[in-house]
Amino acid sequence: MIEFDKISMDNILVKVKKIDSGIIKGENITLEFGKIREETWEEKEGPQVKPNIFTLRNWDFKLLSRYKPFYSPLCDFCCKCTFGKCDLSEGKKGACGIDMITQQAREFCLNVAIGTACHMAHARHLVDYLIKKLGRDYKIDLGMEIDVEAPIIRTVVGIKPEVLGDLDEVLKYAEEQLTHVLASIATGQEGSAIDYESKALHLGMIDNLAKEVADIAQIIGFNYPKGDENAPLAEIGLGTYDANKASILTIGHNAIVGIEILDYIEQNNLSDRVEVLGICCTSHDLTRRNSRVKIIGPLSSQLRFVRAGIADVIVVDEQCIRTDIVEEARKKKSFVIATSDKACYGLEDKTEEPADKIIMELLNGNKNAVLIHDPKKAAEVAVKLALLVSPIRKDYKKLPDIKEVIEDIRRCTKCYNCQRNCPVNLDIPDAIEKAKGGNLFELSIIREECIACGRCESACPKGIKIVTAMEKATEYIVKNERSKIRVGRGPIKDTEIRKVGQPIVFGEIPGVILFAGCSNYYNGAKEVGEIAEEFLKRNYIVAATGCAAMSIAMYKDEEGKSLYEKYPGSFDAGCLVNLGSCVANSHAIGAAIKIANIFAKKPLRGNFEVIADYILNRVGAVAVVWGTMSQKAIAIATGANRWGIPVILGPHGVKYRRLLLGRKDREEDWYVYDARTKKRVIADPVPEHLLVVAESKEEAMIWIAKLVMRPNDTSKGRMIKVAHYIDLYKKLFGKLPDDLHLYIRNENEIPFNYKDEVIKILKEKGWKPREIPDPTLLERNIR
Amino acid sequence: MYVKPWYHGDSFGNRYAMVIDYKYAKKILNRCKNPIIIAGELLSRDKEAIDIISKARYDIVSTTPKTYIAFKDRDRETYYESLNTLINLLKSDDWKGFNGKEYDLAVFIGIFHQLLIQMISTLRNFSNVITMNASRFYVSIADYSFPNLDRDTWLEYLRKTFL
Repeated sequence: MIEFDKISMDNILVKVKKIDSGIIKGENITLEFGKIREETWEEKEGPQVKPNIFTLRNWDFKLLSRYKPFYSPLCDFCCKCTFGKCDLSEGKKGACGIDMITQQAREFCLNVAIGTACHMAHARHLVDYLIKKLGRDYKIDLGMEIDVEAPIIRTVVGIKPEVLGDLDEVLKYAEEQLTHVLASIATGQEGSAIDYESKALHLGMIDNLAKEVADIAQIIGFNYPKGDENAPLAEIGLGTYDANKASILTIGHNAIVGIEILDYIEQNNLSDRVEVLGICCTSHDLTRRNSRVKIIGPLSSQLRFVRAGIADVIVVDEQCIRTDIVEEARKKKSFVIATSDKACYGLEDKTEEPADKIIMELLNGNKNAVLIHDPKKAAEVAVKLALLVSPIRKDYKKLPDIKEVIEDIRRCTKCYNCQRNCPVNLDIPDAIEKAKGGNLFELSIIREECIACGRCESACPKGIKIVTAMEKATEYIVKNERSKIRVGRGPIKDTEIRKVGQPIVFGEIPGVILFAGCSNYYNGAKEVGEIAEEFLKRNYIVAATGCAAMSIAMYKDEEGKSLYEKYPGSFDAGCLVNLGSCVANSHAIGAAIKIANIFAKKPLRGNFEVIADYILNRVGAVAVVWGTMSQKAIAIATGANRWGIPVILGPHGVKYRRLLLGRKDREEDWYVYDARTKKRVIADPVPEHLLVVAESKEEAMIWIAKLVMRPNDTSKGRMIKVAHYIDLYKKLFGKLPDDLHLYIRNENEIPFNYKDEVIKILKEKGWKPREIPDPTLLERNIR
Repeated sequence: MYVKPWYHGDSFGNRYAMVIDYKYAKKILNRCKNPIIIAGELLSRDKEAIDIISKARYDIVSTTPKTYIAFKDRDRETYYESLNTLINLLKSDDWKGFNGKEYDLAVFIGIFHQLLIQMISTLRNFSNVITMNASRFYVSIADYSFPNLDRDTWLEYLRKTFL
């Protein structure tokens, strides 16, 4: 006897109350049979649907034979298992047999795995939450101008996601892949550096996939802009808060609780009494929901703002949160609500208790923080608590008095521990010495380059509050620090791709630049804005996400306008696109894929190799990750690399231990197949690297100009790209580059303005014109 | 002599650079067949130091545009190569150097220390090129390094080593 409880067309769910067949006997058994749905996507399946570790290994090997891994070990040891520690220096092997190179590849792979896990867990939270709230059958609809709604999912998983439940299926695949790669990192598993590299690239692609899932889910679930180039402008800066309102500061990357807070405030008509502020990606996403939310700033503003004591309640979700947030908040009598399984801080779980009881306990007890993992309840507690404590916290909403600060820094003995622990080697002792007499000017200068990590303070034997002193030195400036950022618009529209696809592939739009990553810069945040503006003026398409998008917003021109006010938000030449939070950078990869699909009619479904080969050889895109703090940044970069998009890292990025560098002087590394002639030919060495570190802003600019070149550029397009390269090089070096002969393939590619000088160089180099191939790395493309 | 690395995160394991003074540095330079000075971005910000290095008789490679211009302003022509690209070439057996000869000694100066440490680590682990750190601050992973020096002493070291 079988009694059916429920059958849905999406997932067949059979709940058997009682079965007694003679063979099987039992009660209350649930059986799930996958899904039955009419196929609406007619595209034929390619060979690489849901690729596993083996599927794209050959593609990775092709990339890695041209762009060879370059390792910079952070230490001589492996300390991953109890065989060790094992010293791997000077050719020695560990007890398990591993050598230094393989260990570096393994460490790199682990970093990518951690970063991928963060984005994937974030996506999982969003999808589960939204399925519970809206149902599995909730439609994915990104509007009339976006038909290719999920280019990464379509290519990798081979489905056209139509409802939220489909995203769950995508994540199940992704989670399986992560598990397999993570297992390979255990002691006594993989023994080859090149295979660890392939696995890292595999996870990079999975990271892209998870990010696309996360952003599509939140766009449809929370009603964010759907590719709107005219998305509103929001306020950003440390000085944007309203001192007359109670304030809730959200920190992290997962907007679920923040959205509940916004809803609670709206439902209870409290917007004139309480405001929501944000740091890091959660704030990006909250402005996508409500542009009146204020972005305080990127990661580097966290310690600064918490120390300023403005926040009555701090709500933390996941990723990029200071792990001492509870301790720091306590000093300013701010309350902390932790809401995520990723960051519980040892706090008491109050989820099951009534909101009012939690508030009373916080107000009457000696604790300033609780864990509440029910988003609705966390929101209610946050708002009510903020309203109650705001009036009584007024005395804490300020930095210490100047006398107090100077008294504190006068205790400095100039031991240099602060400088010796500073990631950017700031001359803190000198600035402090000068400040002892009351002149804080030097402190205000070094603050511009400070990333506010606080390592100087924890290293100080006297416990001097150095970060606070720097904030005091710039108090007036900071209070007036306000700028504008365009709210994250999400995906690039198909209509935009139709317009720019050809000029990008032919090289007439010189390139697409994505700024992504964190805010631990080596020479101050303004450099990101300076690089972005240089290329906006040159008609490149500039896209940005996460902390980088915020740093660009803080950079103003001479008239005091932010770049978002100055440049339009379309995906077009000379435009600046804020895609949104870190997970939204999947749309930049998505745009490259859409160019292959919409402009070049390449099929997506299960065709990763074909699409990546197209991007590598034809789409002049490059990513800049100028600040590189977390493992997520390198997962993002590695994903871009597998699709054939080069990435430039800031100086701190070298600590990821591995780059992918080409050798432009080795002709044989640059072979391609010419799809027209069916011959194997040597192409020009572009893009030269897949993952490279730039030591300075100017060097990054040179790399950008070079790394957007592609073998398929038309002569007109190449001429435009070479003109920008020469122009920048001449501006920065006062002369022409000496490698022009590698990039100019025929006389039509010589920029008119530099004709005589270029011809002279080409003659010196013995240059001869060469054919432009129809380039591909895939033999099957020429059959 | 034991010197604590300047940067407290500079700890690689059991290998510590030999601490050298200018006399020893000069000896190393004289003994090597084809040394190259690798000058980074930070050198461009130090007028006195770049004045000294611009007069050195060895090959110099600038690793950033500003450093290249700073040398050029002093009528010193240098090679230019991005730092990680240069290290990649230096560690490759098939690269013959800017002057057609393999380099056997890489002298580092004016590079952001976290980047410097990692680049030296690459050469130390994967090449036979000898590494010398001529920056103001001791770096443990190099083969040879100046100790931690105050600015005036460091400039004196540079003069006596390179002039």
